[in-house]
Amino acid sequence: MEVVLRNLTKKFGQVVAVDHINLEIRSGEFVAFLGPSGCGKTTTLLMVAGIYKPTEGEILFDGRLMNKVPPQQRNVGMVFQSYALYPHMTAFQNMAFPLKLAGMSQMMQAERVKRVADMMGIGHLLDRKPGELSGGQQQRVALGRALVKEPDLLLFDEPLSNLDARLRLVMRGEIKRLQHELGITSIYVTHDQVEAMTMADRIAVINEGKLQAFDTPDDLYDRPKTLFIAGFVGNPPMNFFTVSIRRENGDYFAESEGGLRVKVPSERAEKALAGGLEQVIMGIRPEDIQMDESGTSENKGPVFSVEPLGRDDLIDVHIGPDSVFLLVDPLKRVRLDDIVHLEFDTAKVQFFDPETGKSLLWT
Amino acid sequence: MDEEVVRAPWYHPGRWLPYLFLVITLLPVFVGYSWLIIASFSRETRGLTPIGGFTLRNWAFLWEDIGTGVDLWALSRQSFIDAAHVTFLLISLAALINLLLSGTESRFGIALAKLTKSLQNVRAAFTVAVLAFVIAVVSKLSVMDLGIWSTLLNTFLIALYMTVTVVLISSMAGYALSRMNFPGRKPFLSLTLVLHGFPAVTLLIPIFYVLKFLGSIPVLGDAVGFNTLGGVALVMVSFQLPLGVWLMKGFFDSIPWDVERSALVDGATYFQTWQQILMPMLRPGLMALGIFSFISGWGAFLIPTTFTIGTKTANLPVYLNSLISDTAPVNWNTIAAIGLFQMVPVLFFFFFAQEYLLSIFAGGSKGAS
Amino acid sequence: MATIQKAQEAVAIPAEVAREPKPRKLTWTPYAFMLPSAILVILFFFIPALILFYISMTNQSSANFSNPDFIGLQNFKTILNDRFVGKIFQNTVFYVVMTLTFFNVGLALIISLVTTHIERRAGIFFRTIWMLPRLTPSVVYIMMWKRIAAGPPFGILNQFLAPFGFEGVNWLSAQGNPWLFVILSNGFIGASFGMIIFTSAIESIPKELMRAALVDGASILQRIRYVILPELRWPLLFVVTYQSLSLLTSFELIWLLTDGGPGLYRTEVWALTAYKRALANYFGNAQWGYASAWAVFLVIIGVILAVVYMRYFRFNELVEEPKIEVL
Repeated sequence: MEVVLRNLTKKFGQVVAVDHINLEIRSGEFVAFLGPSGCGKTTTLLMVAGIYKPTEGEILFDGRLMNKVPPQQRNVGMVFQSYALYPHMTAFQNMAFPLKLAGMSQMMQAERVKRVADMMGIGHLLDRKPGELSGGQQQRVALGRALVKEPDLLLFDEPLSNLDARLRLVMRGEIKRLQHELGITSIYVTHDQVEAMTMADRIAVINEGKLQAFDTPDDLYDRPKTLFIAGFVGNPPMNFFTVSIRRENGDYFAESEGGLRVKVPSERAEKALAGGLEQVIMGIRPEDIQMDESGTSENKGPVFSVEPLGRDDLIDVHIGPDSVFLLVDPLKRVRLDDIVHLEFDTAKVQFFDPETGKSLLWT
Repeated sequence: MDEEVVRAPWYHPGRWLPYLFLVITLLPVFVGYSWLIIASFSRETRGLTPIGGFTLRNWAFLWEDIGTGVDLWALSRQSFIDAAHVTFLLISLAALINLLLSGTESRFGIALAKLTKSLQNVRAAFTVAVLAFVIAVVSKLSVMDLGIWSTLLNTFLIALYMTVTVVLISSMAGYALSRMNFPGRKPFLSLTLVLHGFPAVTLLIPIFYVLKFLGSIPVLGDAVGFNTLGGVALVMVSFQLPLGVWLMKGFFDSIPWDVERSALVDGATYFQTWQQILMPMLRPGLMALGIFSFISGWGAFLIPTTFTIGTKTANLPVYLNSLISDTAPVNWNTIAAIGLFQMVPVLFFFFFAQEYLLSIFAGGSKGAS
Repeated sequence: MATIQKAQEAVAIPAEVAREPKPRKLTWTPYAFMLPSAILVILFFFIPALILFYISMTNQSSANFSNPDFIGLQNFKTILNDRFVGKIFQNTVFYVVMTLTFFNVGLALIISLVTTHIERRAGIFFRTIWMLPRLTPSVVYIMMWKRIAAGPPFGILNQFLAPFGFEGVNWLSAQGNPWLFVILSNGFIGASFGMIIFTSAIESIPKELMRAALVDGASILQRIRYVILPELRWPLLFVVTYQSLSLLTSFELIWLLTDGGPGLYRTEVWALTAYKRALANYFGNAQWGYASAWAVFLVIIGVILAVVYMRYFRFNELVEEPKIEVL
């Protein structure tokens, strides 16, 4: 089913929680709403579900206006962060509840529930109550309950955030796989960008109630259209420097006032210069910066902090007033106040207008 | 302050003085109940001292009045026949309606057909039969004079009626006030709170007029008018309502929103959400309010004595008080026995359902700070 | 922003298709849930209040039940000129103030301090026992007090005092001390209300605060004075307002214990007078109009205090918006 949000707005009193969001979700697509907590993504989801009444704007399912259709008649399945299982019912009764309400015969209910439960791998747990199930099992029951009525639209409200890291990884894969096999249009709300990047076909980045971008994960990562996106997507976040671009002997160099100087690809540099700006913001991801062990690079500075992340160490090198974050091999045993030389791989360098925050490379 | 702190040795006054204080202040309670128990099993008491040894004679009220010609066997046989008639009639009526409505298109017709169909399965029919039997027995008993047992039945009916109604009505209103947004919500919420503080007993005089008026309505008046059990119970339900609504609203507030959202998305109407999801989840709260209402209904004196006349509609406290304030010489030992007898359900709940009762008192004053 | 713009273009579906006209239904669901309560509140609170004010201005009594005269404020004048109104007023104030001070607040506070100081389970045990008087049916409860106060040879208090050479007396008679027992019997029920509220307030005081005070070397009394009491300001105010109102209008126990006696109005309080004149007159002359005028005073005080108490306590927590909107 195709879902369209047109100028969707929600105000709670004076507070604007969702601000004129326009989205078109294609049939069968898996879309993630990504944003920091309190950005309005869950509010948007609840409007789609019919729990909240939009203040303004429209919600269309396959071109049909849904604003005043109560949630019972929308045929959506929803998975909640807290699972929201009914504690007094067994897993079977939980999953059969939507079917029972739809007036399905008990035999049909049993058959449907059994089929979905087997698909979810919880067939043997059906006579247990939620209190007797582990977090992951509860999550599966909740997912099963959403699937069992064969909804036109699946809504996920941060469904994995209460699970431990390992289980989250497993469930991530399972949900993605299920969605792919069943082909049900899905909206997945999360504040975890890894989740969004790995699962979604397209990601709607929302901040302060406004839609920041609606793109594929690759586009968001490699071709961010705004400074906000560039800074928000990717972990550890992108480094930003205020630079001016100079041309020397046919090559382009970006230079910061603090003495940072890197060669940038001419194609990108020309685009950055096209606007005629004196200074631009240059963005480079930490994984595109290496330590130069030969010590020849002119970009060098003292190590200000070292954060062991396990597989890598995240270090912060100060070059003049600029702070450069990069990942290094823990075996190199970088210590505080070591002077290190840095090598920049500028093939994926980004440039932004410091005034508007818009990308100078992608529109 | 349940901490592993270094405590003073046992002989230090700080250790035993608090206990001594608590025991001494509670002395009247201990003494009062001791007297009640001792007196109800003694021939005579002087202070707390039994005179003339122990006896069960004081409990004769339980059986003595029963001998007034009631044939329990005949009564239950007749009730059984009545119940069978009613059940048979209801089921055949249901079958008839169902037959007439088969293939109907109207929504009302379908709903009715569903209802009548459900009546035809064995369990439903059995339930109807049992209910009819109980109603038949009760209605027969209530017109007979069975001494203390009629009074007991009255007491029980008032308490039960109160329990069911308070729990049902409060939880309906509590649900709407807690979970729904509608014009009039705020005024009703503040009204509930004001009524919660308002001393309803000051309205007993005009309520007398209201009951007289209700009593003048045909049919309904026989159930809830002045000098009926229904009327008494209705007044007590109303007086309990502000507390009940307030408590239930608090209980509903404590249910996570996601559960209810989930039910709505699953296709439940508001009524179904209330009935099938929220009410079962609130079972402990409903138990608490129910037990509390039962105890208040069971021990109620002021309202029953005000709005009933004579012994036919009297409940146990009214009966007991009439014995105490009789001008005739009082046998305090019989009275003690009746009093202790009346304490039985109270003590039962007190010992086995404390946590529920405490949650009422704590909840009823929630947010006081 | 190409994608967004594209989305906007795609969204431009013809208005006729998108806007299916749907009549706006009046949502009656919440009102259906409210209906039973609303009916009972109207029937047994609102209408009675109106009736009360009306009949307080008539001379309705059992002598002229069907055709009373409207006599304006005559009843109120009669009350103010009543020979005993001063006595009854004094009694009421005395009863409320004494019970409130010594039991509903004083003893309640001490019990909660003591039971939270001793071992936790013992504290819970004693607090539970304190709930018993509140749960006991009032008639049975008063019966016990009557036996405790009774004159020789039955009275229990007399039996306890006999070894000290005390000559027995009926404590509820004019020679005894009826007020003592009126206040005791009410106080033993009233204390548990404050006890529960104070206890939960004391238990919610952060443990760190108590530890800090301990480390600073504060004695028990200092801890009570400087740590606990300041935290109990609001609960105290709440108990005082709430309980003074319920004491002011309660009369059931006094009615059962002394019936306002002994003698003329020795322990009669305002609410009891109002009640007895209308509904418990053994001589068959129920003065509904006149009694209602007595009750009007209480209703007015009751409404004022209840509104004040709603304004000051917990109204804000009440009005949190529901998080589901009826479509």
